[in-house]
Parts: sequence; C-alpha cells; structure tokens
Amino acid sequence: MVVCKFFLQGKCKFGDRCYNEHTQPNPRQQGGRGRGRYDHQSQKRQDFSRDSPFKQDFIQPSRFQSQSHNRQQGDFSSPFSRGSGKQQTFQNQDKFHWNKNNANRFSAFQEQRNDIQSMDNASHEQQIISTIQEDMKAWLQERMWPFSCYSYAKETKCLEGLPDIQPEELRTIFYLHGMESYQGIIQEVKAMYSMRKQELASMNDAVKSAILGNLNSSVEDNPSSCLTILKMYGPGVGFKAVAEIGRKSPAGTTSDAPLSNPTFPPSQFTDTQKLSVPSFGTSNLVSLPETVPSTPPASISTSTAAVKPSLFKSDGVAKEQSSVAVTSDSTYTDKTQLSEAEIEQFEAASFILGKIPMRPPPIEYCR
Amino acid sequence: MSFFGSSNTSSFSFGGGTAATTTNHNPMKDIEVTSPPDDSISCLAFSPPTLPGNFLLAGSWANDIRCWQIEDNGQTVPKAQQMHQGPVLDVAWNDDGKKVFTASADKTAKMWDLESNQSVQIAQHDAPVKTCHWIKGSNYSCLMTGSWDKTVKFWDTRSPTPLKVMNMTERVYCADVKYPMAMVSCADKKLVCLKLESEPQEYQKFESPLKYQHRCISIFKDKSNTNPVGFALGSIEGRVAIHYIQPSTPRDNFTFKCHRSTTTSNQPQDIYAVNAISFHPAYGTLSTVGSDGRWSFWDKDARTKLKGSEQLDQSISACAISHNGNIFAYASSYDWSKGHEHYKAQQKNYIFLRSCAEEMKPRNKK
Repeated sequence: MVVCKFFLQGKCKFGDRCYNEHTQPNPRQQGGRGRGRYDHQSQKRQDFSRDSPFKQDFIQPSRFQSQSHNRQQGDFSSPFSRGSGKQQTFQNQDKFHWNKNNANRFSAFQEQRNDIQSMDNASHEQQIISTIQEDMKAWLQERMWPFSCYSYAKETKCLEGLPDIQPEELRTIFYLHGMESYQGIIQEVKAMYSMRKQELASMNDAVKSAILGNLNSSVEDNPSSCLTILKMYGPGVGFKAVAEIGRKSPAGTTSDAPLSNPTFPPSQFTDTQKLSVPSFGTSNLVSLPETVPSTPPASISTSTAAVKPSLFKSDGVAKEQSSVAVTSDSTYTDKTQLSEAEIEQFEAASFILGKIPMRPPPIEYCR
Repeated sequence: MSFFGSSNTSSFSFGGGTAATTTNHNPMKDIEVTSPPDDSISCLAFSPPTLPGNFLLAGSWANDIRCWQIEDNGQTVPKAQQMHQGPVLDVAWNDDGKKVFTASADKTAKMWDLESNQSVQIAQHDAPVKTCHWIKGSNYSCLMTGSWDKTVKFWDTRSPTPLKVMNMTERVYCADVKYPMAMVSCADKKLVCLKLESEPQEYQKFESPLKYQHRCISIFKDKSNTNPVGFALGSIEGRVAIHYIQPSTPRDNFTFKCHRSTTTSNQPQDIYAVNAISFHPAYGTLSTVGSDGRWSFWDKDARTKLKGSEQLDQSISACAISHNGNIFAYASSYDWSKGHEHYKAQQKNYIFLRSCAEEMKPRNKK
C-alpha cells in the first residue's frame, strides 16, 4: 500500500477513510534493526558519519537501547515500547498522528500484537533485572565513581539503597575533619555501597521482588534519605579562619578536630546504645566508656574511626549489617545486647544473605 | 615577585608551556596562567561583555579566589585575590562586571567589589554553598545560591534576608542560569527548571535523561542565540545528555558518551566523570572536560565531535569560555574522583588558555 504523503505531513483530510496507508515512517525505515524507544539515531546522522572524516568521533548512540530493549525483532517492537512504556508523553503528541489503536487497520495483526504485548510485560521485567545485574557487575569493577545513585534506564526511578554522594562532599569532609575521621567514613560508605551492589548483582528472589515492587509503586524515589551527611558539614560544623601561610595541607585543619567533637554523634550503627564501645587508645574523638580491648581481633573491625561519625541513619534490620564497629569483650555476645533482628537471624534455620549479624552469637545458641 | 601574597611559588610565565621537567602537564601546548592557585581549582569564570578586556576568575580549594587580566597577546597578569574561610566552590560575575560573587564551603556567599577590593558576606546557608549565579531580570536582580542544605535562595545584595527560599528535595549539586530560565540539579538525579520573569518560580520538574549522578549542567540557547531552549547535563558516567525543554520531536533529546577510555573487547572501559560543560556564546557548540584529563569540543546539532585533546596528567576540574568566544580556559587539578589516596597536596595546579574561535566553529554547514 502506498503511504499517504499528506499524513506524513500531518495534513491528511481523509483521516481514517483515506485510501492510502497511514503509518509512521520510522518503524518502516528502521525495520529489522528493532531499536527501542530510546534510539535517537536519525537517517541524517548516519549519512553524515559516512562522509565525515571524523568517523570514529561521531557521537555514539545511546547504549540504553541494546541493554534494555533486546525485544522481539521486527517492526512491532517500536510501537510496543511506546505503548507499554512509562512516563514519556511523546506518544501523545499530535505531530506523530500515531495512535496505538489506529496504527494497524488489519485485524490479522491485532491478535498477534496482544500476545506480544503480554509477553512483553514479563520479559520487560526480566530485561530490567538483567540490566541492573549487568550494570552492577560492571560498576563493582571500580572504574567509575562508586558513590552514586542509579536507575536502570533514563527517566525511571532511582533504585533504593544507593544514595548519592558527590566528590566535593567527601572532599569537604576531609578538609573539615581530617584523615582519621574521613577514613572511617569512607570505609563505611564503601562497605555499604559494595554490599548493596553485590546484592543487586546477585539478585535473589527477595531483592528482585523488592525492586520490582518499588518500581511499580508510585512512591517518589528518595534513596539519599538514609544519609545523615548533613551532620558532617552542616550546622555546628565549620571552617575556622586559618592563617594563609602554610594552609597548603588540609591535614592542617585536624587541629580543629577537637572543636568539632561535640557535634559528632556517638556511633549510630546499632539500635542499642547501651553497648560499650572499645576505644583503641588512638581515638580521642569520642568520649565513651572504655572497655578492655581483649577481644579476638577477628571480631572487631580494623578501623578505629568506624566507631565514630556515621553517614547513615540506623535503620533497624537493613543497616544492621553495617554495624562493623561494635563488639563485646568476650567471644560470645550477651543476649541482652543483641537487637531483635540479630536474634531472629540466630534463631532462624539459616541466615538470610545480607542480614547476617556481625557479632558472634550468644553462648545460649551454641549449646 | 609573587603577586598573590600567600603563594610560595614564584610567578614566572611559561608562555608556551615549554617546561622540560613534566612532559604531560601541558600536552596541548596551551598558554599557562601565571600564579595559579595552590590547591585544586573548583570553578572558572570569564568577565561579561560589559567589561572591556578579558578577566578570568578562579576559585580554589585553597580558600581563595584569584583574578587575572588576560591580554590579547596571551599574557596573564594577576590582578587581585580574596579569601574565604573555606574552599571556594563557585564564582560568578554580575552583569556590569564590577562585582564578583563567590560561594564557599564555609556556608556563605560573598560579594567582592572589584573597585574597592572589599568583600562582604551577602548569603548564608546551613551547609556549603555549591552554586552561585547572578540573575539580571527585567524588574529585579539577585543572586541565586544553591546549597547542600537542600535549598536554593535568592539574595538581594543589600539585605541579609533572602528574597526567596526554594526548598529542594535533595542537596543541590549544580545549576545554571540564562535569563529567563534557570536549571537546578540535585542529588538523586532531581532536575528542576525555574522561570525567572517576574520572580523566580518553579516551572517544571524533569525526569533525568541519565542513569547516574548528575555532575554539571549548562543551558544553551536556540539557533538565533536569543532564548534559552535546553540544557546539557553531564554525569559521572562519562555521558552527556542534551535535552530540550520543549522538543519538537522526541528525538531532539539524546545522550552521548564521552570521557571514556578506549575499549578493547576483553577489557572493561574506564569511565570518567564529566566535570564541566561550557557552551560557546556564539556558535552553540559545547566543550566538556573530564576526570580523564581531556577536554573535547562537540557540535550538538550535527551530533559530532569537533576536537579532542591529548590526555593531561591530571583531571580537568573546570572550564570556561570568554564572552567573545575566543578563549577557552580549563583547569588541570585533582577533582577527588579517586578519593583521597590520589590527592597530592604538593602537585601543581594549572589553568590553561587556548584560542578556540576556529576549533569550536561548526563545520559542514548544510
């Protein structure tokens, strides 16, 4: 059938009655390549690249289409991605004259389309999951800034559990608080991010359903709400006027560290504040009762600074695994000092990955 | 005869970057600015057209803002310096070029009167002030400051209370203003567009065209160079998104990859953050600088790369283009993209100037 040239201009006065075919030119021209809705290559750009001496310099197409839209081949992939897609409103634009119902007036294709669409929803979710897994695996190789939020595709919600931290924020904390505190914070932050990324990379069923549930809900994404980073450079913490000379090394400001002591909250890792925190002699930034650090080294985290300021709110179960800092002074933890979540884990038949308690079990469970 | 008192390095101009000791610090043989700051440079800004000649401002993590006069023969003359109590994170000129605004991690923004060489505090936040931009409207003028305390505030320089406070959902990471449009990007990839006509108001929230953290944003104008129509958004993922506020077709908006190491099939790519984007004032072409230590010029309409640089030995943390479009300035200093382990307090920081009028011109006019 001849494609109606007036329809292509947006001016066909016959509309549905038109003898010629009213179809979008794009799916036809791209037929076979099966690109999804994120493809922004135009014919024009392709031609340019052939002529241009900067062949390899031309802007590469977005990577998104290959990852998240490896769909059924053929012309139908394009209209479906618009139809089953999410927030974009472009499909409603008049200029396109494209309407899911009118795209094909041949009933023979109607049923086929429905099948593909329902298949699409399930495989769409599978696409999302595999995209997330691939991205996490690549990210764990540490060739990119690690402390960033993430969403599996553009114009979609951020995933939970991955807050956003800018390099300048960490640098400000370093300049404000000095090497020791900074290192502790970095350890904590790194551990938290890599734990979450590994969780997402391995994608067991619990994680999968949590992700999909969250993506489908209409709740606004706010992964950084668990951060308490404002405490590190916010009210009550500040730079003092320092002499201009010799200001070169930011470590020079550690002399100010005692000033910022009162603003450092005690460790927020655990729910139970009555735990006593061992101080290893070097840390003079937190004034908590000392205990005899005679514990076996294996059960204590290596960084003393991890005891001190935390960037994350203590959040019950989810953050329990980040409580690397605290321990008791015997091989077994006292049962009264364990949180509910930890007790649950010890009593369960097997540990849930990601919720394994960091402290040794009480002696009662070992008998 | 160091002009900037605190610096303990003498100021001798390298001219053409012919230093024999370090091979890679200036591979493009660009002009080095004399007496660069002692710590990483966070921001660069050229003077507006209302001021005769070209003046360059640089704010740094050494708590100072330095000003140079750039002469036509390429000579850079240090002119003046001001200090903050904390690292300077952003710098802006006002419209007549007589005042300079500086935003700092000491939670304040100051106004520096160049004629009297005095600076006064005019803004206060609860957390470091990350961005500052001057808004010259038809019936008002003010300074817009964005901070990690999740607010954007608008200040009349004469009053200690802000004209307006806008609460954002998250910490402000980057912003840009081209009257009558302003864009603010926050943590968790939040994007807000403001319109500034009679007073600053939120116009629209955008879904992010990127998957990872936003790093820098710059507004561009339409082909006739009169009205702002869209913005370029850079992320930590070596990707820039070009986004029109009201695209005529959805395919107007696109993203492109940049600042990544060359790939081989079995090796994963190194992905570097895009630290800053600047648009040429006349051509509409853009420049990007990244943590990989390279800068590039791009033509967004033809969707091609115009020029890429060799790799510098440090990341490039900031860039700026002069108001007449002749000079491209970029700062080579550590941007903390690899944490504190790679921070060397003794490493020299540089600002380079390049004549870019020819290189940034779009080619192949259709």
